[in-house]
Amino acid sequence: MTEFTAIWLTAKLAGITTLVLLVLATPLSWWLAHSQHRLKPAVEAITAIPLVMPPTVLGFYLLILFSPDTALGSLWVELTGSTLAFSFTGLVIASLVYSLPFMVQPLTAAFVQIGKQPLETAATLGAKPWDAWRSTVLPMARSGYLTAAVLTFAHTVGEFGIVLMVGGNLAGETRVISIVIYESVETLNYSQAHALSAGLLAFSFSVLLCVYYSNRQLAPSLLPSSHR
Amino acid sequence: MLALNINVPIGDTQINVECEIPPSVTALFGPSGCGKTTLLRAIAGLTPCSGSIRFKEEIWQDLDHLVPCHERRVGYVFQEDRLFPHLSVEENLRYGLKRADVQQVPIKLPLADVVEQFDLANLLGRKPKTLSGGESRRVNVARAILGQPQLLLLDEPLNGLDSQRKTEIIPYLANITRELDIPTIYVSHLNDEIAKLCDHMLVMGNNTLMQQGRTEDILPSLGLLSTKGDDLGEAGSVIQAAVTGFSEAYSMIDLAIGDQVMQVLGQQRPATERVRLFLAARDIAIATSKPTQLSIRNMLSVTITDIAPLTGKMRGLVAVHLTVNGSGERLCAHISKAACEALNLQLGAEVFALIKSARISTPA
Repeated sequence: MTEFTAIWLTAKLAGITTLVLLVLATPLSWWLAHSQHRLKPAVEAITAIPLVMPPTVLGFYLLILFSPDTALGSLWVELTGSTLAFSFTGLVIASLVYSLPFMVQPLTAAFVQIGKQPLETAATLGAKPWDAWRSTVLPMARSGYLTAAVLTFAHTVGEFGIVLMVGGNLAGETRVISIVIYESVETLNYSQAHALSAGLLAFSFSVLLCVYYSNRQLAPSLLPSSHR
Repeated sequence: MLALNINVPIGDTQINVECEIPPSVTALFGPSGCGKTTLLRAIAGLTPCSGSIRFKEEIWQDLDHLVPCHERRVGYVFQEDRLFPHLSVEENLRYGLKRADVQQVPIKLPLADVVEQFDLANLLGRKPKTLSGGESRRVNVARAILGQPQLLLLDEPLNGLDSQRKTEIIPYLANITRELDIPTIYVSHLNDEIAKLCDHMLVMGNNTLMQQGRTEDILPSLGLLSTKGDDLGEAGSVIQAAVTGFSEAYSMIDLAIGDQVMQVLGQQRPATERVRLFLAARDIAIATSKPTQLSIRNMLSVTITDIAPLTGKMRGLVAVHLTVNGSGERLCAHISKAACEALNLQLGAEVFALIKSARISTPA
């Protein structure tokens, strides 16, 4: 039963992270694609940090941030009565940070390629700004959204270090697949480790296969270069 | 109708454009890079500029107001293809129409009419990327018109098309601009197109608005406006003529200019229809007596109104301005100074203007 609880928990974590990031990363990516602001390089760098930092470092800082001694941590305890560290909510917040670049980079690449021309054209045809964006850029960025969502989901499924630091190992709360695999190996339960690892491998391969196939049909150039 | 007093940013500098554009078809003419597109974008509200823009009774821009592009109701045909790739041709056409409907703009130009006018019935279900260049241009123009615009801005709508495609599209443009009665600004650097489609002209160049006025008044002097580096196109004149007949065997249209007759190559057209022709100044020769034994068929009796030597690149030529006898139409001929002196041409002299039929393009 441990495996199924862990699989369900992992899927829930990855699903929620993907949905929240779709909403948060859209305006951020649009801004990164089209802004000339002097702080843009700084924002780009901050967004990309999770790509290069060891997850344990990220997890360590988040753990500190979540502690009831900080403003965020104490506010959370006041509001909910429990701490962010070692909770599912804490895990979601950590995943949002950790997976941000996997959502932002494909979306930014798609928005750069689409440019602002469709919005101008739509405006000359009487479309208000939000209507213009929704009816032109959004559908034109379809393959960018697909790539971004799949990469974010798959990447969240595979995270380990940050979960171990922030979430620990609580069954049904923070024990995701990668933690179970680690634990199985530690306790020499190789058959369980094999089953789960093979499952993850097959899952990762098949989603990536789906993305590359559908992108070839939609618009191959929308895949960010680092993931081609 | 459209009153402009704006400073348009062009590269590092600005040009001041102050003019009143009349409610018909106005050509915006000038060498490439002089800011024609930027001016058009400023009028549409796509490029920020300082100054004031007034359209009829509406203030589009001044110190206190700025009407955004989507509320100006301009139809804009961009130089490049701007069809939405994810929508079919019909969905593209309906894009502006639907939004005009939502904003309760009276629909004067229904879809069915425009589809027929532009011959688009067979294209409706197709995606933009499957269209040929000419088809795609037609859809771009039709979509702009279906947005029920109160002002139409056409930025070199025939750009990049070969002459075959141009002859396919010019009649559509002539139709919409003349029949639909929407004020239009038409960017072009081809005076042949302008002569056929436009009543008025604005000439830009040297970072300033150089001239404005009626096409007939401005086109003949274009060669004179050319200064170093500016290619302002070919000088010539625009004349109005009435169709009087057609010869099937020779594919020639008979045209009446006052009481004189002229023949040009072309398709059969309804008699009495009025057409406009562009006659390039270097395609007109002058004879002091009516020549015989000549392949040139068009010999108009004309009177010399002005003789002006040309300078710069055109040194050695003179511009001879002529009025067609029996009508008010004016012509301009560029001939060599040597020929002018040998023929002893004088102001007020009656001479013959020789125009080769083969050099005149088919009227729109």
